[in-house]
Amino acid sequence: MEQLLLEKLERDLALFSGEVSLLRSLSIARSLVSNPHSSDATRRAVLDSLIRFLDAHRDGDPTILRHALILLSFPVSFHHPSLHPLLRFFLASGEHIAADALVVLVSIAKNGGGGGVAVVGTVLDEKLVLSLASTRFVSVRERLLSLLALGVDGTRVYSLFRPGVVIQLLLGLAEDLYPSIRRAAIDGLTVLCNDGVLSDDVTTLECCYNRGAALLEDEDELVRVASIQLVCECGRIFAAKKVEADVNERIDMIFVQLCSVARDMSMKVRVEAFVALGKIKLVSESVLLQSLSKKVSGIKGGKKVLPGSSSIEYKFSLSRAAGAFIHGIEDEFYQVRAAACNSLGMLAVFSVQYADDALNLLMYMLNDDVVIVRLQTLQTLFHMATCRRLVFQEKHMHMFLGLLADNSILIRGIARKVLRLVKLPTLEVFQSTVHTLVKNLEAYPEEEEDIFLAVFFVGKNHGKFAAKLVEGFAEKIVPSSGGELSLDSPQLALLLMLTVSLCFLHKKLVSEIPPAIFSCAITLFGRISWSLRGVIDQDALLAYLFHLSNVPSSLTKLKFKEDELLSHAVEGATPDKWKHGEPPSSSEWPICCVLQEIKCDEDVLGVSAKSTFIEPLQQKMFSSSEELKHSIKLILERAVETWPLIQLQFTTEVKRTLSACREELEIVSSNGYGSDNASVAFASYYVLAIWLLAETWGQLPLRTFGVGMISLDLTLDKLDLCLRRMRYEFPGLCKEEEGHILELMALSCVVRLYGICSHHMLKKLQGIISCLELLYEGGSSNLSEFANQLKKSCTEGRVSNVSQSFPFPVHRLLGLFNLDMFPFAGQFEHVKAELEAIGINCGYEWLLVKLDNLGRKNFLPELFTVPSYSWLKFGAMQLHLRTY
Amino acid sequence: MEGDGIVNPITIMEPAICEKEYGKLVSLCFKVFKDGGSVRFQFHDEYPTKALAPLMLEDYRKVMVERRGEEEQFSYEHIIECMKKVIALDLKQTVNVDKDLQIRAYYAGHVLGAAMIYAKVGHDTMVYTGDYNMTPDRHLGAAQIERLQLDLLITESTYATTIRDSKYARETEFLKVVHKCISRGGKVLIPTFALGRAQELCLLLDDYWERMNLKVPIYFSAGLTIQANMYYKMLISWTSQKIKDTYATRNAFDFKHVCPFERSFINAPGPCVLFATPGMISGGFSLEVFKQWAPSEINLVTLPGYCVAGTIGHKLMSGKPTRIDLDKDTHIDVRCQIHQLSFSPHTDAKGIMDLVGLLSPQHVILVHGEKPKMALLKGRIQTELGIQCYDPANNETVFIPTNRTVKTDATKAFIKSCSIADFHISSNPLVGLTDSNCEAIELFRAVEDKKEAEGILVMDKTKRAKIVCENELMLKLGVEEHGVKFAYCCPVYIDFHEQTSHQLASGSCVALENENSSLEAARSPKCSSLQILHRRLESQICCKNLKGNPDYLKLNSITIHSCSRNFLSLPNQGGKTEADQCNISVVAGHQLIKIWLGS
Repeated sequence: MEQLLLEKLERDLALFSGEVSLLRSLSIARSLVSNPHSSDATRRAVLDSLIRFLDAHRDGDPTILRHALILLSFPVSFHHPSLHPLLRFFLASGEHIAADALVVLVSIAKNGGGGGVAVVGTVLDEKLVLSLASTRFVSVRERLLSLLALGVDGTRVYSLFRPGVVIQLLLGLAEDLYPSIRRAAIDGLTVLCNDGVLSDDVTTLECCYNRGAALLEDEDELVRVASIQLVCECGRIFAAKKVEADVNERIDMIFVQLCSVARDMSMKVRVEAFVALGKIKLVSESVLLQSLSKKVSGIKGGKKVLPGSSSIEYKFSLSRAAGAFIHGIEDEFYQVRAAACNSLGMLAVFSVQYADDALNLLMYMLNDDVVIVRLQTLQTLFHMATCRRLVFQEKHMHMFLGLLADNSILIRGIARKVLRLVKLPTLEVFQSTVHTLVKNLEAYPEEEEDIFLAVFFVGKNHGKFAAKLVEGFAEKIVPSSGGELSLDSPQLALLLMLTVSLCFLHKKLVSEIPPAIFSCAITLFGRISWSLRGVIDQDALLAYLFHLSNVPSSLTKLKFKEDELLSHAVEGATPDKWKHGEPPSSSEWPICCVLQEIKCDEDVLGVSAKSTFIEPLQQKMFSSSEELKHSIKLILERAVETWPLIQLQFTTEVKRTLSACREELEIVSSNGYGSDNASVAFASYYVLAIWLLAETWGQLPLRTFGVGMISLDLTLDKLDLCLRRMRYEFPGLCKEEEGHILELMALSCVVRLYGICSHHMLKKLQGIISCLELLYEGGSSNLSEFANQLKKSCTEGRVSNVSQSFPFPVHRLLGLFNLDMFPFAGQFEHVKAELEAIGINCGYEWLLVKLDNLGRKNFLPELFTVPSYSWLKFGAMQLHLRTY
Repeated sequence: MEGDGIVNPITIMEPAICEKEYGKLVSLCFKVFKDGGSVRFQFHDEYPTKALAPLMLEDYRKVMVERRGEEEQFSYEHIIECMKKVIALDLKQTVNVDKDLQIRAYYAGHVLGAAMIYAKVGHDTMVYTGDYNMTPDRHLGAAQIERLQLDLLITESTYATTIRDSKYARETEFLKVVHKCISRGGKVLIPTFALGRAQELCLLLDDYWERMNLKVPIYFSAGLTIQANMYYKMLISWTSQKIKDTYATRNAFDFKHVCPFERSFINAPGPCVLFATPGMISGGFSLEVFKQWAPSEINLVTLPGYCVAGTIGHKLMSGKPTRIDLDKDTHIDVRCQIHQLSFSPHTDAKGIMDLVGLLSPQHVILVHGEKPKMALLKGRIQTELGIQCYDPANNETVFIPTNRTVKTDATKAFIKSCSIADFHISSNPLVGLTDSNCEAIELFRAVEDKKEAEGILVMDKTKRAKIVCENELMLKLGVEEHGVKFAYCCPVYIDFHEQTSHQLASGSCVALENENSSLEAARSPKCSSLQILHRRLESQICCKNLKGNPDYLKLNSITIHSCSRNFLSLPNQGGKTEADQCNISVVAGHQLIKIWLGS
């Protein structure tokens, strides 16, 4: 077919007769090229013939040839000697077809790998580029610009030409009549700036900047957006150069310009303006402060012109910048508000005064009705806090503490993270903060861990305040500590946490606290240490608390040295970046960074930071395996409880319950009880078996005689496999466990006999029954009613021996079966075998058997020679072999 | 006419502030129906205004007649009759009123249905705006208008000198006070008018309640705002962005925490927030509640920023009275807290400046404001923005000069030539392209120049002016082009020795000239001298683009060849006896160019 079409295409192209026929053959070509099943050779052949056709009809009607040319842009890597001259010819034609040739070029550059850009260089030269740029076709100009700005593997297409020519071209096209061209040209200039092409030449840079600044008032909003980016980028380069004497004035002017654009009527432009404002550096403080106040500072009437305007003529007076950020945070669109908030934080790094004023504005933003803005504000606050620019005053606290009661969990979380870093001004504020946290804990007990951590840091940062608070509290509780004290109250818990926080750096203060409080804290040690994990070594803390509470530490044999607590800091646990106090850029703001951030702070302050969990985990191990068994038992119970529903064929409900069980198992297994995978694996097999049983029951009514076999049989096969695995993969199963599994196996056989009589099945049944009998040593008292009845039916069947006429009492048996609770003892291991077949063609296969989880290393690994598809008896295991 | 039609009837919901406007609307309507059957004009209004106006007018009529006992100036039928003549106008909808007048409405914020009107008569354009707001509210957006070429902007200037700080400070303070009050179990009374402020505050509180998980009930007194809320819900496209965004999932005016109010709740225990009319506690329900709640110090009353003298609101604002006498027999003990909260929907001075700066009209007229403040603002507009500004008094006539524009046609080719940057010429400057850097500077100069389009204005028999391109002119006039070439002849002195040495060294050309004597060689130097010249030029100014040819030399548009005129007749110039003279003429495009070649 492919070949046929290809031949037809070549024939048609050779006999070119007008547009209609060409379009028809081109549609063939298109389908051949774009069909994913076409071979590469075919595609190349198609493109070959297209090139030949175009070459032959160069002087034809370009409007028709376009259709053929555009097909060449299909991403197929190929090379044809006459392609480049052909493209050159069309590019130089001065017709609309040049646009299509450019599309082909773009495609070649993109798909040609490393050499793609070089190919463009062979086709285009400066003269051609200039002539294309002055064509009257908009699409040609547009595509030329997109080609120039194209970068493949770090090489830009424009670098093929002299930068002077490219810049001149872009500057010229930035004045184009069409907004799309203007935008593309400005974007191109921004790319040049980004690549550092303009960094060396001040006059050129100035040209670009002037063009960008002029276009800030363009009619088209997207052009304005692009020029904001260009101006911002130019500002960055100016700032980086620093050689110019008037660089500061220039940057001030750029800032003022961007501020005035921030009042634009278009939302996109405003967002871009605020984003750009955040990127500007080296702005003088007076201009920065002006952007926060609507009232023009200095001379009344707002006629004040920027200082030192000798070298650059300022078109913009300072009043244009007035209150830009106030407008930003009052904006109707939350996107603008969020961008303004972010920029406030970025600029706060440069000036203390500005940071203070910005904080006032940011506090208002905490009241915003959009969650995104509130989050952004908190992130900004956090950013300021990490740069040590966040100084809360009393008036701010009401707003800020209000956030702790916020509806959104995200907001509450970040608010607490900010709280960890701030410095509170007065004792009253400190008290109200702790009080709010208590309220917080009452309202959201599930966030205890985080709240504890917050209290810990608040206490640590404000030792004196905390000590005062604890003292007052100590007076209250010590007399009544005879047993009245309820440790459950959130207030007490937090105060104890506060006490613990005092253990750090405030040794003097600690001595004044009655030891009774520390002994109270020990009672909460579990909760405290859990929330402080990763910050403090638990053992050291416990020992220290024992030490302080004057209780001889008989429980643990840890010996405490006072310095040890502080020396536990894990070297290298925090990246160097954080140590140097370098703030994270706003774009990479993972919440998880926060903890690292705090660790870094700890390093600075010299407090211990330890993140080892290994030792406590080992201690936990013993108790946890019991815990695990218990939870697995519970899960198995839940699975078994679905049996009545299975019988009633509520398959969907059962499956829902079972998948919940499965999820629970996953959670249990992910909790890291590494050693006891066997129980989890066994339980998941068991749940699967029940699942398959449910499926079987769901399919039973479908099955009439001989019909509906396939799907039921498939399910039963799966069930059999699953049961076999349970039986053989877990050596060490107890009697009851094995019996249970055997009964299930028998059940699956019985189901197979549903409507069909099969000797093979009967035999298998008998085998299972004898296994059961063997298991219980012949004493039938232990056998269930189902098993007894089954035994009877089997013996009867064997006696009558007339298989066709003998009706096996399937219905009665199924009715008798009752799924008992699984007698889970969990004293087994899990053995898994992986078989690898080597040498498939030699008739025999070398099988490499790897056994996991077994101490019996003496037969691992071994090589067996077996015929394909056979059973391998292997100790107590039966291995099903498969060839790969 | 249109100017008057833009009065926003809704503003009368705050009658004391906007009484003047209200009067304007009434008089306008009055005029309409006094005209009776002969409808001579229609007036345009925005949809919300049209929807709400009849309600407001009827309300006002009742107040006039029933409360003040004035003579009934118009009846309900008049209002209905008047409203029939109103045509509603949508935002950014352009309406051609007649063949000259075109109007278009832009969003103005302020109140539901407020608009700025752009009007165009012939070529003259203006924007008239009544009250507007440049900063968005919670329930209304900021004014929005595009850049227009305007001859005149007429704007209100209520706050000509005031610069307001962020409204967030006031909001935060308000929420703090309210939260404090209810957390102590107090009741909050918010006297308010039906439209605007009530919605604004309620949105604020509803959102705060939601965020803080507060369960204290918020009540709207019966009758208040129910109808108004309905209109808000219907006219969602005139509200703020946030309300528009959430509209699809939940109408923000379906307040979550607002419960219906019953009279029995007034004395029910426990905290609550109540919105009640009228806004200045001048009577009605808000007074009734005030009487009950004022004596308790845990309660709170929040007053609007402005209250008319004589109302209780005004008394509460001017100092903190402990006792208010309603009449001879009734007194109210005031122990509750008073909080004042002003939300003005007018723009401030910065907003006015921003709008004027954005629109950059030729002239500005300020209306609606206090005279001295307007004069200050006028001064600022003239000095800072350089725009002619007027603040006319009542009945004063202002003449605004407008620019006359003449329309001309242009050919397609001309428009294209304007739109396309031609990079050919600028990239091939005339002289000596030896250094790429030098070229770059040259290029920038070409780009930086202000873009000009060259064309020829022609006017044919149809008397219609048309701009054509230079090359189109010939075609249009049907004449042929005559070119004039200028040549400059100058003597070039060539060292004789150099010439001979060159001849000896060179090939076939030399063989031809060897036969002649040296004098003859000087008489007809032709190609040989050109060659020498070529060589010299190349060596001295390192000119790479010079193209050599047996008959002439070419450098871009300049051609150099030897002149047929005999120079031998000229006397030798001082000290040049040994040198031959060679006459060279230079032809360059349309220009005369001098070339100095010294030995």
